[in-house]
Amino acid sequence: MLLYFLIPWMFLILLPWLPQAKTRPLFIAMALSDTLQAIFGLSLGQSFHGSWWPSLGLNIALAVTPFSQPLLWLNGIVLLSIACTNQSPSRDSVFWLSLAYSGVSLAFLSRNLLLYFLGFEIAVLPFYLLVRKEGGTDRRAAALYFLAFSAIAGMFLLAATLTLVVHHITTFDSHVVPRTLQFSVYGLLLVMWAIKTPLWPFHLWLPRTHGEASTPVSMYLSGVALKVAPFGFLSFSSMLAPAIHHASSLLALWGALTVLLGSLLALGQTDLKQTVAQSSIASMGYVLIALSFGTSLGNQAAILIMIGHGLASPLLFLVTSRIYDLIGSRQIQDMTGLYQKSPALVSWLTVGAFAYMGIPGLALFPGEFGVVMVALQRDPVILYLIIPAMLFMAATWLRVLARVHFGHLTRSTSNVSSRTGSVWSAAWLGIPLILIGIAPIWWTHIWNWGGLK
Amino acid sequence: MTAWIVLGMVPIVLMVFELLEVPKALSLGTLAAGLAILMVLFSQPHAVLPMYEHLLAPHQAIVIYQELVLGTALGLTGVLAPHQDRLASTLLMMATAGGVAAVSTNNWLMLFLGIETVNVGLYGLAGHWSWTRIGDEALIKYFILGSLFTAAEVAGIGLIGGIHGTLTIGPSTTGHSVLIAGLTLMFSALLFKMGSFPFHLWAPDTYEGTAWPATTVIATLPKIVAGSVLIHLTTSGVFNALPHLTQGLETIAVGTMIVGSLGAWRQRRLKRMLAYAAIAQVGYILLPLSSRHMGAASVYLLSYALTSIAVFGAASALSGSANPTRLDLVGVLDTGGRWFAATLIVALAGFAGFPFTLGMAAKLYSIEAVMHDSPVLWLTALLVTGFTFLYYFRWIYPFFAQSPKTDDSTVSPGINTSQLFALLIVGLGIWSYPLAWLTQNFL
Repeated sequence: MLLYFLIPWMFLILLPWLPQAKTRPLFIAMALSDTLQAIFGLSLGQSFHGSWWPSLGLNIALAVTPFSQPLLWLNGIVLLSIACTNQSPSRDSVFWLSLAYSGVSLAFLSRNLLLYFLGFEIAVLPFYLLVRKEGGTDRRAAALYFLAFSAIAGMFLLAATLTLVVHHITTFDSHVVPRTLQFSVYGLLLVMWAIKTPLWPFHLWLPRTHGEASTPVSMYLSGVALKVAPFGFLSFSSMLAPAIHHASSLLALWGALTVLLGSLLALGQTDLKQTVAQSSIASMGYVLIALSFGTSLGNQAAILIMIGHGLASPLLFLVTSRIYDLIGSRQIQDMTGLYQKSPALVSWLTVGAFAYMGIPGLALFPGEFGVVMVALQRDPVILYLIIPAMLFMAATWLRVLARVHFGHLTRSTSNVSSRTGSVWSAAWLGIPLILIGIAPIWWTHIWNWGGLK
Repeated sequence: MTAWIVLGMVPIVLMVFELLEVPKALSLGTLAAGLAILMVLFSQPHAVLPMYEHLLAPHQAIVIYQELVLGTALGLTGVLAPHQDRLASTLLMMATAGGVAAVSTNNWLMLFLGIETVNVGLYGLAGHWSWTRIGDEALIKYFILGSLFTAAEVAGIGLIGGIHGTLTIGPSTTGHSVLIAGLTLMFSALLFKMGSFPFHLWAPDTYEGTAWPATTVIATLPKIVAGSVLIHLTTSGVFNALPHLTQGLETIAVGTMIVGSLGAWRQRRLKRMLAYAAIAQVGYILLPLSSRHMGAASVYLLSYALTSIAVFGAASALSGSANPTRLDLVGVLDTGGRWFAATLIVALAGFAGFPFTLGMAAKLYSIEAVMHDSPVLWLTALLVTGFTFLYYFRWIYPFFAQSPKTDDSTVSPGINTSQLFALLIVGLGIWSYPLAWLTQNFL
């Protein structure tokens, strides 16, 4: 397990001394070896404990749980796809991205509250520099938005964590949290989840950041970094069961509202990257609905959506950036007839769009189906919000697909013919997306969830 | 006793060196060796002559503050070596001797003498390194305001001594209004030296006006001395006679954080940003004092000392006599000054409290100390901490910005001791044993 952390850390230490030309091969090597380490080196139940700052309640407690394992795999695969996609990465960007990667890994593995917070912060702060450095013309404001929202969310998480720590509750494994404490902690955490997941109306930073960020940053941010906060919900859920139970209908309603508004916002976009970003808000709304009830089916559905979304959204961001390379625009109206120019690219776009629409056979379907099942059992009212949302989401993506498949390409394409290699790097994300969608039951067996409940 | 005699002898030796006009390196070496020997001597258990015993505070934590002051001076010696001639060495040593006396004493008069010796050394250094009229103006401002608070100290000591009938520092027994007036004066003088709200107004102008080496000293030594004295006096109950002391300290701490971070946000020049950032940092030293938590305040003080020496040492090496804007820092990582830039990045991250730096642990100590207090207090403190990320990262960013290659940089390549402090910030942030040992055995 230590090797899993050591690989990125050694890479971070070595990186400033390496020549620029060696950055890309070593980044790929690091991502590949760490992904292999995550898949074959980390097995369920593995744990590591060490004392670090006992007087602060901050100790090293790492463990692989059934829910963290798939997310660790996702983490590796998304990083690997970014490493393969990025043709000429700058050294700074690779450094900050790897730092964020190690933070995310720490957050997924941590069983100590403060260690989770540290991972959370390491996964957040480098993104300010990443967004600020490379991206669209308005990236300055976008980076500021991101940092302001994230810093506030992080401090609410720290407030909740410290409240527990001063009551001598330092690990996620502790069961007894006094009732009076539960509700204040839950309230503080709710603010963090609302901002970081995000829930409407705290989502403002997300489309702005994605609109301006460069492709690798968008891919990693929406693919994995966005999952740290909802994963915290799962970790905290065993300690805060009564509070979660009390607030479940409210949170489910809030999540459903986010799903509906996210879908509507996505429908209203003319920019493909913004469409992907707004659709992410809807997907994360599903995650919070699934989590809000605290049932085992709900938790499993939440992880499945996170995995599905973690594969589909980087795939779509990747495809968007390739389309931009090809036609010099991200506007959907400029993409008419793109299929004639680049069938492979449009095929991957179709896979991603189908996943977002919740087509069976792709990874988002089992999760969204699970959400509907849970909602049907616990709170059927929110289905009145979810069903229209699904229709809007389908409409959003059908509109995009109709544009790219039919008609004649009017816009002059760039002379750079689509680099086939970079198109096929989408396979890193697309193939797992299909594999998980075809047979979710196999995967849940591998992750030892004891079958879908 | 040896330690104290050596402490008195080193400035005298340095003064003699000045008269003899020995090589600069010799006086600098003597200063550094003297400080190192003093650190060893003060760490050993030592007895003083019975006639002086009542002047020294009986706490065992005193040794930490003595070492902290001496260590800060040693760090300053290392960082400022290129600027230090014989006179500067003497003045720095004098200020240090005053600081050691101030943090160890149990007597109001000795405390006054100690703090004033620090001040005299500082005025001298600021004047010695002042090359422009703006520098002189900053010095005058610092001097006049400093003298005003010196007067407040004298008045406060007079009132306290008059009520207690003794100049020995001890817990207050009565709630006499004259005593309250005296303690208030003393308390505000210490807050002024730390650059804390509502007495922070001198700091930005003085920092901006003085030359980098003088700013480095002003930002560290007097704040460490005043901070140590304030921690020591507050936790031993000297200020208990002040009504609403806890609420007062809470307000001052949170106010200092808010004023400092709002001021630092959107500053255009590095030095002014650092001045306001340092004000915000002082808030975290004061915060645990509101629940009389000596350990947390001292750990933060230590972290502040290490980080600010690294920040100012690196910034001064990077900017020479200029006061850079963010644009001036673009591309420095590609020039010979890359090690200073790296130090500045690490140190700013340490100030912000990035994970795996000492600043992170110190901030956790500081805020955990008040977690049993009202939620308004700690939630405000936390949100301000979140806000501080905005300006620290705003200043870290330019180093990574893409830039056209410029080769007209005036940065002299190389390294100085500020890199050592950057390593300490990260090292102590990861290896917790030294701080854990310190807090368990002394604080």
